[in-house]
Amino acid sequence: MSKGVSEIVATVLMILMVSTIGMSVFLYSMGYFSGITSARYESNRMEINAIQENFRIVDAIIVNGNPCELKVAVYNYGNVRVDLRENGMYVNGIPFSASPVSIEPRQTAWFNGTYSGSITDQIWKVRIVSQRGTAYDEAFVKGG
Amino acid sequence: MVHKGRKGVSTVIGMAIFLIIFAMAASYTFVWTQYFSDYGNAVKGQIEFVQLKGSETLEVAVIKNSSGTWLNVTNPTGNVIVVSQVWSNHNNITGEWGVPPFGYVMINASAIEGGDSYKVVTMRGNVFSGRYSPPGSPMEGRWLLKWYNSTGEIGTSYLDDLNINMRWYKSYTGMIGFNASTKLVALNESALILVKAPLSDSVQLNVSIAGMELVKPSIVYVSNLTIGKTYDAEIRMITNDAVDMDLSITFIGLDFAKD
Repeated sequence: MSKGVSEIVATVLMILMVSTIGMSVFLYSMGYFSGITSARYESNRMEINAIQENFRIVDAIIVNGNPCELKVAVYNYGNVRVDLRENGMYVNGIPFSASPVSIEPRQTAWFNGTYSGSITDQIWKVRIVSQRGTAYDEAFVKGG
Repeated sequence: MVHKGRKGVSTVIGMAIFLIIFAMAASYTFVWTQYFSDYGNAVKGQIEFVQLKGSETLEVAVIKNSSGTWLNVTNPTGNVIVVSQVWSNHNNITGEWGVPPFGYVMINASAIEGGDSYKVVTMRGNVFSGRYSPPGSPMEGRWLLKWYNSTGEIGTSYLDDLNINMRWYKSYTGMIGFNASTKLVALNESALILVKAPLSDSVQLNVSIAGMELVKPSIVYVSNLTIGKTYDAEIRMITNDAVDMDLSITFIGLDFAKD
């Protein structure tokens, strides 16, 4: 009799342990895979948005002096909203102070930057950068 | 019997676990594959967009008449091009003007005045720019030659370069000359102007650029130029002789100012 009881108890214990471990592995893997899936989804969405992000400068006003000011009209010809980064404006490698600007698809907005100094170069190589890291470069001749 | 029953249960449980694992693996594989597919479709769409953008070409001309100033936008390609903005003097006109293949549209651009530069922006992000030159002013990218003789101005010519071959009727002995003018942009801090020599003694030639003027030079050295800056250039020629003449003037380090 006692042999029979211990066999049942051992079986029950074994089933409990196996099912517990199995459930733990199952739940852990579920969380792991769903985490990877959602991370992959976010990454994929960001990459697709970065691919579809298209913008360019269509006009510029240079106010030369000390401080100097640059206003660029940026046209979003892509399919996603463009968020121009705060201080995302560079002239000949010099960072300009600029407030962030959001531009909806097919819209144009002015992106204004200032620099507390003067730039004597005749040619201004302007770079603007979006939140997604996309950069657009264009050169302007001062007074040209 | 007992053993047979246990075997059956474990087989069912095993199959159920296998099916669950299989279904989950299959569903995750499907979802992840779908992500790659979405990414591939986005790249494909962007490549097609870039191809269409690269194929866009527009020819823009300003027409001024009694009804106002108009931009004549001609599409020489086989695709429809949509113009979304027209810029002039830092102001823009926004709208949608579809230019049919091998067709044209007229856009009212009353804000454009003489000497104004303008830009036409397409929906795909291309910019086509130019400058309005009223009749009589030098055309951008060309020399404007005003010909005259002893009686006064006799005509104008627009030339891409200053290679002028003059052949005369021997019966003609009067004076003739021209004033050639354009705007040149400096590509370097110094530039060279070469005049093909020799010129006949009866030929008077004046070369004027960047505030300096030389009489009948064979080589003009121009220094202290500002790269990218636009300079007025003028060539004046007068001849009283009816001899044939090959006048060739070459500019090194300078190019036509396009805008």
